[in-house]
Amino acid sequence: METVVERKEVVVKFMGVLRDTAGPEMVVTIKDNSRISDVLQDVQKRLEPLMDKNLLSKILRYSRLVLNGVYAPDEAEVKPGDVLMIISPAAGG
Amino acid sequence: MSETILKVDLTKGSIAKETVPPEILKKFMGSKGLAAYYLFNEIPPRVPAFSAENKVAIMCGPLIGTVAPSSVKFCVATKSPLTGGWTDGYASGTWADMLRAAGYYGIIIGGMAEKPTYLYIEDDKVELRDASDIWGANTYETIRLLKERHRSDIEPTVLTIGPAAEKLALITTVIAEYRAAGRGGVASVLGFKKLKAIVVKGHKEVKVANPEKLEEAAKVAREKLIKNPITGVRGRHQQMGTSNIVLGVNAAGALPTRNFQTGVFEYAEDISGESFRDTLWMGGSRRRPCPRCINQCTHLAVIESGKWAGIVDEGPDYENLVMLGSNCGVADKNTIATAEFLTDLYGLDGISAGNTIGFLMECFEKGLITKEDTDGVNLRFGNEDALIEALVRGGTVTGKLGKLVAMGVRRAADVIGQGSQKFAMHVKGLEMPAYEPRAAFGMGLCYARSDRGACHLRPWTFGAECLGLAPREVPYLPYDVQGKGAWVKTLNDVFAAVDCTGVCLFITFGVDAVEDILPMVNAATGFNYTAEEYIKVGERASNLTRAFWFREVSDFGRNYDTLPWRCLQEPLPSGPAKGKTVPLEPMLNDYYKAAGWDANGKPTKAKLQELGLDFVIDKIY
Ligand code: SF4
Repeated sequence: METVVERKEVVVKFMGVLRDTAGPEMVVTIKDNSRISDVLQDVQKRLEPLMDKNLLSKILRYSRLVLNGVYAPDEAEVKPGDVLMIISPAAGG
Repeated sequence: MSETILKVDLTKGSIAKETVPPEILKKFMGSKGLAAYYLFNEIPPRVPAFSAENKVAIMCGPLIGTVAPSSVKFCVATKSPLTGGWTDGYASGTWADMLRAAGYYGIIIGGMAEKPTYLYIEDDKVELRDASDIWGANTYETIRLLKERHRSDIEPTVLTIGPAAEKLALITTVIAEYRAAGRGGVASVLGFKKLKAIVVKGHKEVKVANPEKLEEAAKVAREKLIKNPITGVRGRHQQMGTSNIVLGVNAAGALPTRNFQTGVFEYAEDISGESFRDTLWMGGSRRRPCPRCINQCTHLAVIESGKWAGIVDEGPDYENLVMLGSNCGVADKNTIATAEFLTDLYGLDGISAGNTIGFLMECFEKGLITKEDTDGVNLRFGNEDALIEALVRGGTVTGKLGKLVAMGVRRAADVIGQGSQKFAMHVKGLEMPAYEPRAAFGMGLCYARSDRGACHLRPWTFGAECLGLAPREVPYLPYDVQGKGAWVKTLNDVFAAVDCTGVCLFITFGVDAVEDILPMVNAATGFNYTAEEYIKVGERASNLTRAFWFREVSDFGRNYDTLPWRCLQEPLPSGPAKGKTVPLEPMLNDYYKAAGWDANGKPTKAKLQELGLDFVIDKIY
């Protein structure tokens, strides 16, 4: 019997200032019972070499999080195939 | 500091110079505050907006023309023919620099000329001149002609109205050196008065109380702006202007689409700031910044191919892009840039025009109007040619369609009837701008309460609610209700204070509106405002404009601080805010309480006294 290995990944999409650094999206590998906060930690680690640490952590604390099209809290569970949108700071008028 | 304003009486053909009394200058500072002071006192109660008695104030703030960053934004205010109440708008660019260099802080225009006229200002020489030969010219042509005529050692700056205002369309703006100012039909009041343009040449230095201190404070502000990823060098404004937020707003489900029927546009990527940057704006390299500005949000669009090839114009900024784009179902960048160009050319308010045309498109698709009413135009969402045709006709007030566009959405809905008022997206008669309030309740409160009708900048809560400009906590989240009223009230006063200073509001994305701007104001004026006094200037101005509404509109009150039926009763069909309507009443209660207003939204006598607005009390009580 063939074994199917499910890829444990979520797609993270960026809007706002993080898009300028991270590009439009990135794929993050998750574990069982991973939460949005875990994904954010992963994103932070990967972007840290590219921008000021303090600024990045402030941006991630401030960004709005939309999981599969719905606002979600940091503790929401993420599943393989989920799409997390990080709406990071941007300003218009 | 002492400041001089011009008082122009077009009926008599007279011009007087007047010094602003120092205590009035300190109390109202400039721009919005001073415009409100003069107009409240000088426009006789309840005169029609289109009358010789109505007046227009054009006013600078103390930082305009100084070394402060983005110190360019001046105010144009009047009694609005569109709403019947207060309206004030702001333009950036170079026009106001020149007014101050000529030695003037503002102009109050009253009366009505017998024939088309323009005001010519060259330092101490101020004259009214015949404008018969330029009456009917579009804005760009007028600017070109008047610059040619008056160019000497320096090039004059020109503020003008377009053909739409001459024909008394109600959704017009003045165009000052290619930048638009004013919502609510302010330009049409000038059109009624037959004042076509104001040409300025100035050779003087703008004096400030303490130049060294001002430079010191300006340097601090500049350094903060430069470092900020939004306002700084190669920041989002330099790359994409205000349109950098399109994708974020769409992700939040708040991008007005097809007359606010939903907040998610399936072609958002196509009309995003990123997409404009990478095409029409040449990677953000075609900037047209205002003087002394770090943000540099303005971009020049050059259309090189297709049916609109050859058009070159600044923009579109976020508001026009969305209202003429997704709100009309249009996803073609060239068409949107062309549409914005036409609004500038005719002197139409792009927000109001996009809103009204989106509304008419919905009426057309629902069968409430037919080709009979649109002079044969197939006014469907997404029809690019129809959008352009509607703007041309609206801008020239031609035919049935042109008249419907030019009257704005409230009146168009009244003419069309058949229940269309439910989706006529306006507040107090002013067309709603480019944020869907069901997806950001604070914006709903801002629209409902703002002193000029649905306005996105009185204050702008959207960035904090949905775009990550505030932490993920109460009351900043988009659907928070508790605490929102008090927060919006505080923010409103701060925004109004910034409007009084003459700096562009957009610098507040990179500097603190009080901590960084106040030192510059104090250095320029020598008034040494405390933070509390400075914010009070904004609160005072907002209460005065509020009182203006109470004085001018007999049944004014809470019933006017509302939102269209669609926002209150029709749940959003898609996006993160799916199922939401705006719970306005509790937020409004909190706002009134925080503002010191009674249950009907009227400033209490005690509040007016506290703000030093005693002269208002017997006018509204
Ligand atoms: S931010 Fe934009 S509108 Fe404001 S001063 Fe700068 S270029 Fe002008």
